[in-house]
This record gives sequence, C-alpha cells and structure tokens, in this order.
Amino acid sequence: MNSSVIFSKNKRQSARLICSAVLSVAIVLALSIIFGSSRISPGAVLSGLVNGAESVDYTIFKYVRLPRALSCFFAGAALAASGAVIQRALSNKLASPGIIGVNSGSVAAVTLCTSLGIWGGWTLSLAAFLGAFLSVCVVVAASVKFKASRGAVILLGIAMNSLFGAVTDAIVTFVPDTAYMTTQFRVGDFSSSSYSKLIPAAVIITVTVTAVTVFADRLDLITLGDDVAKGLGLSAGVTRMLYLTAAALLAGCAVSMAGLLSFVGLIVPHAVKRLHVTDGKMLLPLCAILGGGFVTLCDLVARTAFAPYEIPVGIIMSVFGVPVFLILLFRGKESERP
Amino acid sequence: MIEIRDLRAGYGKKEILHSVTLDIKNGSILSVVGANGCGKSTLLKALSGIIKPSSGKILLDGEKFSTLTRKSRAVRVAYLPQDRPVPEMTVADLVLKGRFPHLSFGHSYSLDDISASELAIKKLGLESISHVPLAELSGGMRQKAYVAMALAQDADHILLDEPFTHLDIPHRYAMSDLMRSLADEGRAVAAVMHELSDALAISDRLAVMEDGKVIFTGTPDEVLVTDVLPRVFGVRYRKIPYDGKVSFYPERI
Repeated sequence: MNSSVIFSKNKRQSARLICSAVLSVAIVLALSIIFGSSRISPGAVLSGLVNGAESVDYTIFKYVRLPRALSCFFAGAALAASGAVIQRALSNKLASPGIIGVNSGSVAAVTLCTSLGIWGGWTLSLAAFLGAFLSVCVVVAASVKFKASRGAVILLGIAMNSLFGAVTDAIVTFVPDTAYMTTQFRVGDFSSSSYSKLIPAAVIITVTVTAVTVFADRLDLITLGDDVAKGLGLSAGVTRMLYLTAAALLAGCAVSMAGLLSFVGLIVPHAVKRLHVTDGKMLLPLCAILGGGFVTLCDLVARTAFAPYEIPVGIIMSVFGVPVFLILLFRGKESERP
Repeated sequence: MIEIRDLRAGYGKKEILHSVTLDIKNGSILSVVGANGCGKSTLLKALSGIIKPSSGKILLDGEKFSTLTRKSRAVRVAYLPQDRPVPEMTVADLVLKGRFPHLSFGHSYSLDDISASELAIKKLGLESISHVPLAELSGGMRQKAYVAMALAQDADHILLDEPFTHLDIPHRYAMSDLMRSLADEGRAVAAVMHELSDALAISDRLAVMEDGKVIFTGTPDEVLVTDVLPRVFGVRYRKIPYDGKVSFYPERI
C-alpha cells in the first residue's frame, strides 16, 4: 500500500460527505421556507432580498419562515453536536442531553425565567445553559466520586430528569401562567420562534460548535481512556469537564429556542457513525449539519402533514426518529450498537 | 535514561510503591516482574506522570520529571497501559493520536505527523487494516494498533504494560523483535511482564518487585543464580540453549 494512501483516503471521503450533507440540508431549508400553511413564491422572496420589494410572501418569509427554519436548524445542530460530545466525553453510547438530564435542567431554568417574566434574549439562553450545566456537574461529580459504571451514569441522568421535572412542576404550580409555555417546552415546538430567541442562541451555538470541532482531537483522546490520554500529555479530567460544559451550553441554547427535543442528541450521532465517520473533526460538524437538517425536516412535516393544523415537532420526531433508531439498532453490527 | 530514586507513590492515601530505586537505561530492555498486585503497573504509571509520586524523585535524562509539562513528558516517554477501552476509530486514526504530544495548541496534524504514523503502521504490518475500525479487530490486532500508536509517539523512553497480552505465539515473537529493535535504536524500553519465561528471554535486565519494592535488579543470568524467583514465584527456571538461542523453562518447587 502506498504510504500516502493511508490518510488521504479519509480526507477525500470526508470532503464528499460534508458536501453531500451541506447540499441536502440546504434543500431541506429551502423547502422549509417555501412550504407551510401557505406556499410562498421563491421569486417574491428573492425580489424582496435583492430589491427590497415588499410583498406578503416576503413578509411571511422574513418574520415567520426564516426565523423558524433557522431556529430548527440551529436547535437540531446544537442537540446533535451536544449528544456527540457527551457520548464521547463519557465514553457512553447511551448518553445524550435528554438522557443524562441536561435538557430537563434547561427546561427547569427556562420555566423559572418565564415565571419571572423573561421570555427571550441572552438572559434566557444563559439561564438555559446554567440549568443544563448544573445537571452535567451533578452527573459528572457523582460518577467520578462513586466511579459509576456506564449504566449507573444513565441512572443518575434519570434521577436528574426526575428532579428537574419536579422543579418545573413546582414552578408551574406556583406561577400557573407558565403552564402554557411549559407544555410547549416539554413536547418541543417552534411555533413561537423569534429573532430575539434565535440570535443569541445561534451565536453561541456557532461559536461553540466551531470550538469543539477545532479542538476535537482532544475529545478523541478522551475516548482512549484516561490513562492513555494522560500518557499522551492530556489533562483528561479538565478536558472532559470543558467538553461537557460546551455540551451543556449547546443543549441549553437549543432548549431556550425549542424546548425538549430529546431524540436528536441520541439518534443523529449514531446515524452519522453509520457513515463510518469516527474522527471527531468530521463527526462533530457532520452531526451538527445533519442534526439541523433532521429537525428542520421534521418541523416541515409537522407544519404541512395535517395543514392547516400544526402539530408539535417533538411528536413528529418521535414518530420518525424511533423507528429509524430501531432500524439502525437492529441492522448494525453488534460492536456498533448503542 | 530514567533514574528513579526512593520513589513512593500510590492512590489517594494508600501507598503502593515503597522507596523504589531503579535505572531504566537507553539501548536496553528492562522487564519488571513480580506477583499480582506488587506495584508493577503503578510504577509505570508514576513514570509516565499518570499518578503523582508522594516523595522521591524521577530524573529523565538528568532532568527532574516533576518540572516538565505533561506534553513535554509525553514527547519523551511513551506509555501503553494494560487496560484500554475500544474507541470508535480506525487503526490509522488511533496511530495518528500518538502524535498528539507533538502538536502545538490548536494546530492540526502536520505532514511530519502523518509520515511518523505511516511509518509506525508499516513497522507493525498494519497497512492492510489501517481503515478498519478497532471494534472489528481481534484483541491481538488491537494490541498491535496501540503499540503502533506508542511508536508514532517517537519517544526515547517506552513503557509497556503487558505488551504480550492477547498476542499469539507468532505475534509474540514479532513483538519481542520490535522491542529489541527499539532498544537497538538507543531507546530505553521497560515492560511489565506477566510471563517470566518471556521476560527472561527478551530482557537485558530484570527488576523483580515484591510488596511495592524492587528487591532485585540484574541480568537474566544473574537472577537465575539467586533464590529471588523461587521466593517470589515459587518456581525455579532452567536455561536451555538451542540453535544458538536460549529458552527458559519453569520447574515448580
């Protein structure tokens, strides 16, 4: 075998995968903008973008479809990247932001913010992150302290989900006005997407996904086990905590925009691994791109399948996501199963 | 050369190594042997910076080990632990990770890193499986992939914890030859060995450990004329020459 073949083959494969993913997601985003309860004309949108020509279609595009499509994309990207990071950092294929209690920590924090009258902006994103981060800290601290097995980490997450669920219920009990928002949050929904929620979350998600991708080689080392990672000169504990913080930030931002979209963080990383992507520098951006595309597609179906009625995207994701996940699970090789 | 003087180390408050003094010389193979739980693996962990000694000192080519950064230690000392997970990556990806200590902050692997990794892959004869995920390989092939990663690290001091684990007889011979070639290149090779026959056959020197202490260091011939092995292992070894080589057979006492 030629010496250059060993590593150059990976690069070619990676470039092809990224291009295909970007193209597919671009198509999904375009469809998501055009179709909905009313179909809008691409010509009118282009005319509005280029010449500033106002029209009903352009107004719908600008104030409804665009923020919604982008919210879907960024929320999906954040949750999928967060799931991939958590699975690698904890070396646990079953872990995801929904399962280890990260999402429910965010929901509790967002519900608290809502009860205080904060409905969007940076404060909401920050609170969602803090809720997620609190959950990560508890799970990591307990698993390190008690040398928890992979299964025990999942049980810890279930306990955190339960605890934060109780906190959320308590807030709703004392401040009933938050009940509507909380219901939307628990099933996952983009019907109240707005630029005030999107912009801070999108900025944080873009910066965080870029950062975790640039330093992905460190995350890869964590998967070799702490002793190997330390032997290669990495501070394994600090690195793991930094990555989990990034994962909490991503999940928190997604929750602040869309509520609980549990399955994305679990399904998408496993689906991407089926494409034989193992290098973190490829895995993380691919998860982000395809996760964004998956949620955008599910939202499109949620808006159009029963038009003029719209159902929460979380329901569609479970309906589509679970069978896809089961197919992946049973078709895969034993070693690749989650 | 690694010089270890009065080294004490352990986990938390539990001290495992009690005043260990030992030299690991360049250009030779040192096998660390002893009964299970005597502190062999702990010694390698202390020498690779994974656990912090409570007292004593380690000198790496005359420099104090404790004053070096994690990465500069890793450039000079490669360590392969006994227990390792099966990460989701291919053989080539794993071997490339051995170049991590040579990376500057935020930089990607360079052409030099790729060349060093390819060289290590070839040295272990892993070219044909370089794109195969580790999960699809046998334990022996995974072991070879990890050794290739340690080679890619290109360190002058190589610490191997049970390098023969999962290897069948032909691969054991290949691993012995590899360790010898590394020593012949002037590197210091230290290996924790489970099989005494292998340790006696491949080593220039042996360090025999008992209850966290090194109780004997010397050549295989020197250890055979003492009562150290019968005392620690309950067996006596006989040296049998054949075809210009030697083999070691255990005799239960």
